[in-house]
Amino acid sequence: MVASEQKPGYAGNVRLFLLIVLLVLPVFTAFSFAYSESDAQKPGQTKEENGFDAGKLIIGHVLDAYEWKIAEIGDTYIYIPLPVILYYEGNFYFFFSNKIKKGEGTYKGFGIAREGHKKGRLVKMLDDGVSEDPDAGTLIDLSVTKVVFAIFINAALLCLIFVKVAKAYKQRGSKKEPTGLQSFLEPVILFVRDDIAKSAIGGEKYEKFVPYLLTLFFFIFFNNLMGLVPFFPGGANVTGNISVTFTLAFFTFVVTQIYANKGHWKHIFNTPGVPVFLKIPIPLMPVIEIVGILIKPFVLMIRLFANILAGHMIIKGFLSLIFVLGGVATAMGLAISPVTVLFLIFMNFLELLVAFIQSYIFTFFSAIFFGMAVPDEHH
Amino acid sequence: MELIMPGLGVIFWMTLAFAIVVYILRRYAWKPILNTIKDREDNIRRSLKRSEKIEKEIKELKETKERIVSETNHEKVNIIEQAKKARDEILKEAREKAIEESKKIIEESKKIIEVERKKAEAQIKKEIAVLSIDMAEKILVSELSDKQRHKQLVLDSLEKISLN
Repeated sequence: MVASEQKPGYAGNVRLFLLIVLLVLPVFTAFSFAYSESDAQKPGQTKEENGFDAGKLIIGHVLDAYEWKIAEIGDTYIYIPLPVILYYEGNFYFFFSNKIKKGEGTYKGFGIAREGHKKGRLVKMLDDGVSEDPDAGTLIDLSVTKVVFAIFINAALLCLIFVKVAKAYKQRGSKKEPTGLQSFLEPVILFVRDDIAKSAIGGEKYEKFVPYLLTLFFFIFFNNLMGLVPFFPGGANVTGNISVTFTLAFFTFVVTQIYANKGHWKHIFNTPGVPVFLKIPIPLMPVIEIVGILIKPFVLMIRLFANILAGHMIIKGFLSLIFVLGGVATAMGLAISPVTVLFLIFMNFLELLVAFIQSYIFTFFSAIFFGMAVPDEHH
Repeated sequence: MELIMPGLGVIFWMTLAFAIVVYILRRYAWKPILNTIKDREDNIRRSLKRSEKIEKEIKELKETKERIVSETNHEKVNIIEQAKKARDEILKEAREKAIEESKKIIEESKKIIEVERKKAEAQIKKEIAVLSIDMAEKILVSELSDKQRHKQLVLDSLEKISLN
């Protein structure tokens, strides 16, 4: 032990390096976030100086959008218009997002808000087409946005892949060894079943949670991976979107409450092994426990969201570095590009790792919450 | 703010999509996959158990075989020993019998020889008697043919006899 501390091996060095990188990552993220905020506040200034606004690019990438931007070459703006579905004052409105012209125009009085708490979302506009109508009624926006569209694509691909693998399982049966994609996915399936479900829930009870945990794991993992693909249909920031992680966490929350048994509720309302004065007259423990069951999915939501968002931001940030410096002087941009590319490669590998780790963590914690919700009766 | 505010639209579609994915995968993917894996694991477990059993059986069989072989060996040695003993006994008996028999034969032959000898002796005696009578006859005949000598002899004898 002492020897290994004095002379850290190669593996030790790598681990130390990774640890430092992982510790520094959030700081980076915070900075880039802060910069982009300030950039967004005074867009004119940066734009005129560089002709390239890194903050806008990064934020534009990680945010949801009503269209899927593919490329912008000179004045040509290539994008996929996506369907907008709105419900406003008893009427449904369907139209494609090319009607609102890169988000700058309005269609039937609807346009994208430029400031306020609804910034970036479709709102009812005043007649001038610039400012939001303060007296507008509730607008329900069920548009198929970029994130939603990406979810559809990824979900369809995921179903396709696994139904195909399942067919291989059915055809080959239990007497033959797995081959091809089947053998590639089987260790992961076994990993989720044995190392996540069985180890976190235990007993015989883990079996009914396995299909959900497998779906959760592969859904997150697949979306994480697709987010790393730099071009259509990948590249959408799906698992780095708070609505998506909220929904995933909500599903875990609902499944936990559905399967929770008597022991779980007893633990919440009459926590064993705790002095009575903490329960009566002020129900301190029940309140803490109830807050606890809400915090658990909340933490899941934040963790996945923040990690994937940070990854997307950093990759875009380093990419922007070339163009920011290129805006100052072309030579500087060229000079920095090899370093940036190297760092981007490194970041992509790191994100590959993060993609796996985050899906693992989300699934593992879900499994732990399930395990806590179904305690053995004799405890 | 926009970044950390969940939006209703995405939540709605995400809930729908994820629920459908959970349903489809649960029904069409995880069920067959997990069942097959479980089947295979059971199969492997069973096979291992069976092979263990078979191994045990083989071991037992081997032991039985060895036991039988050693028993047979033992028996073989026994049988051989007994056979040897029997053979020796038979030989001994045979020899004894043979000796006895030969003794008997010798005795009998001796008796026969004795009888024969006696017979032969008697015969020879007879023959000798006949022969000697014949010879005596012949001698007497030849002796008696010479009358002169007989006269002399008688005269000699008479001379010796002195009339005392």
